[in-house]
Amino acid sequence: MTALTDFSAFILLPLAGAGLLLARDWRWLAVSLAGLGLGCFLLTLNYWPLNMAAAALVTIWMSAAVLGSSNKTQAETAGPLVLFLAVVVFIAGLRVSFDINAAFESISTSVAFGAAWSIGLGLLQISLARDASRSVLGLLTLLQGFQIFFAVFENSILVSALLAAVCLGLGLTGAAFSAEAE
Amino acid sequence: MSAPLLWIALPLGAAFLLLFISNERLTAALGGSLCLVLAALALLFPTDTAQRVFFGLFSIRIDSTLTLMGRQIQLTPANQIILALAYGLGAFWFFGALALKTNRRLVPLGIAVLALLVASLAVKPFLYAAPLIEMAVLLSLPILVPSGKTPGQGTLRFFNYQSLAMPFILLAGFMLEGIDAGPRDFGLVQSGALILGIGFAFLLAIFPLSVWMPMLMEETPPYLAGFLLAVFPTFHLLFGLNFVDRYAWMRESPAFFTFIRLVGLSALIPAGFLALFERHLGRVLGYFVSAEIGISLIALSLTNHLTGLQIILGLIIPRTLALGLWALSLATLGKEKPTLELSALQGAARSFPLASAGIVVSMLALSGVPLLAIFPLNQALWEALAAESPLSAALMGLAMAGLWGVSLRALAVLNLHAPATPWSSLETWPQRVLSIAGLTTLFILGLFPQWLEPVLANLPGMFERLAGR
Repeated sequence: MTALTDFSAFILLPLAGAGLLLARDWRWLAVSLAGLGLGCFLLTLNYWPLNMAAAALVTIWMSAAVLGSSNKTQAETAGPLVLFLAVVVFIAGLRVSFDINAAFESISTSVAFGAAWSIGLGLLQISLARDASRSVLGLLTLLQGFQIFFAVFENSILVSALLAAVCLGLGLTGAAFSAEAE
Repeated sequence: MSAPLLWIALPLGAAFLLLFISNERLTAALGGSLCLVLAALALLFPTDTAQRVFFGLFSIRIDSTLTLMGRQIQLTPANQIILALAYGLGAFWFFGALALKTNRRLVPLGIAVLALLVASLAVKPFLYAAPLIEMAVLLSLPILVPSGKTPGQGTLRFFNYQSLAMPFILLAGFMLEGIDAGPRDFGLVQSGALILGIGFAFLLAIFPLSVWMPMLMEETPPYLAGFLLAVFPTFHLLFGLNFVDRYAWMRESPAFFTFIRLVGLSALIPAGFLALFERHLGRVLGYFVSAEIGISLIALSLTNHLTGLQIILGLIIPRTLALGLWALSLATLGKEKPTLELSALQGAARSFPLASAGIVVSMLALSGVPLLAIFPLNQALWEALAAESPLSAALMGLAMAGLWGVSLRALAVLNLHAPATPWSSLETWPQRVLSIAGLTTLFILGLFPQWLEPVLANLPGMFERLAGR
């Protein structure tokens, strides 16, 4: 079961990442973020009980929905340079995941890759963002990656509740700024 | 009644209700009064101690601890001076908003920000403070960006950098959780420390990540940005002190404190240098805040940790007062002048004498000039630093000279005038009262620094292990 979920996440996360970089329509961006959240959920299941992981998944889906539905403008797609950087992040994520696996026995390579890829992709999006909504999208992506690591080290309900509140807050902030921009 | 309910839940609830009041003056008056009452309660009612009230008819005991989702939120008597300072600062700022008739969102959201930051000090384990700080950052955005406007680059960077800090600090904290006493696993400590360092570099805006501070001051109303620049670095420093207090391998490592000194100098020196060439008085405030963070970190690096803590905590009141007066004065000038560039403020002292005095005296106070509030603490820091590292003391002196230089430049420009310009005071009465109160306090605290001693005596008790008590 674990191998199946890990493999599904390994396929889903790069696809969702590509969607986040290439989609212009905010609805597709929201779907990509939701896909990324699903991938992270599958990896978090290795450490958190289903109810906690599901709550985190629903939160990121809600944030994605709020963000996607409030943005009416077309987002900018990534240029060739950004795509090249994304490939670099992907390769670096793969490379780092082996090191993480070697350092921490409890973190499998696929879990480490999922986290590293999401964090790298989030940082890439934040560094290239020109508006608040894109920044929020990057922050949410990054937070999903970190959440996988948090799940490895901590399974407190309060932490997951606080992270859920931060996720929702980020979604609402992005939505508020995009609404104001229009 | 438990302390977290009184000092966290109540202000959060009140902040929510205040959002629905459309009258700006009423909101500021109610918010300021609430903060004043909460500050007074923090001073008068120590937690976990029964107190007789109403001529001894009733007995009240405020419990320090509230359990939430299996974790504790605890406001001990040692925290109460910080509570009084935080809400006192809020009262000062919100009554100032009354004088300026500034953004209505400042008061309710400002109270909520303060309550969340207080919660960040109270939550146990303290690591959980990181998401609370992030929530405070999220709530501060509507203060900065008025409805219908898009955030500028400074606001975006503030948001991004402060938000990036949270996951790094949280992850480092989880990694280091089992390693309280000593570095059993050197590799784990090394990676944890690196991640923690990245998080705090973002959180404390260490150069070059401090770039958002001047940008924020330039593109948003100075009084609103000033509030956040006074509040956030103070609580971030306290959060950081918690880490040093918690981990023995950190507080017992001389190399760690040498590193902190280097980081402090790398925040202070560029700020002093860049401020000297800055022409916008709002941006200058941003550089001063960055320099103040550097000074606090240098104080933390002192070998005598108790002295360092006393300096860091002692700086909170005069620094906040100076920043508040500066922001108030900038906002007063900003209502009449098209920009806060020095070129547009030539001769402003003739028509806005109190606001101009407020700016110059605050700048001089923050530069550590004798007779003003911050001088005694800066002097103590300089003396202790010179005994440990003369080179660091000399570099600190150079940076302070930069801050002093820009202060004197502002003094000169604000007093430039056409010979026939008559003296007048265009400030409103509330602005005059607040400016005079601020100016007087800055001088009084400079002349009688010992008056703050009783307030600050117990503060290092918050960090018992670091203070060596």
